[in-house]
Amino acid sequence: MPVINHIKEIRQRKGITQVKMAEDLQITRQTVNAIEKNKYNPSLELALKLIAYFNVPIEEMFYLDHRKEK
Amino acid sequence: MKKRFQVLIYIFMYGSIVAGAILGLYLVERVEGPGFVDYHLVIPMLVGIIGGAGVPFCISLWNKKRNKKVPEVDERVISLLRKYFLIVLYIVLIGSGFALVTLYSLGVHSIETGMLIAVLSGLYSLIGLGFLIIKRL
Repeated sequence: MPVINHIKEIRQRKGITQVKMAEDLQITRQTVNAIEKNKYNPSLELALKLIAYFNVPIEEMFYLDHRKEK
Repeated sequence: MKKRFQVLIYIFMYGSIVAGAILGLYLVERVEGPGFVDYHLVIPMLVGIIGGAGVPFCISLWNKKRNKKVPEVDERVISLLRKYFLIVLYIVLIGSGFALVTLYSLGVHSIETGMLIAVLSGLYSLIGLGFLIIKRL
């Protein structure tokens, strides 16, 4: 079941650039891009860091795509 | 502390290459007799090693200055590299086995070590190139 995230929308809403986010979370810009495009699922540690960084509830940032399961 | 270790690693690595090259020249002279080796070869050898070491070092410095706080490696890069080296391991193991069986069936029953060195050099270069590409993905 694929995991979908809303990181791009949340990041843009908060006015944060990809480079700033990469610097703050100590990840590469390519990783930020891959996560935002749903090509890479972050580890639990990075997911928790992302939730703390944007200060949003987990269900607002990540959810399971049930449609693809069917 | 981290930077000092990095400098020490660079010094050790390139020092070992220079020492190995000079030792090689000395051994060739010992085996072949005095006057066989032209010691002027040491100069282009040193220039080559320093040039070869300097270019990647400058590129890494330039990258660090450009992206001051963004790391070069993170969890995604490590996971990609792990997958890459696993695939490389299988390809090299199965590929070399297949190549050996094919050569044997074609009637080649002995391999010159020089040829093996050439093949391995090519293989190492390819693996290194793949590593750099994966790191940038």
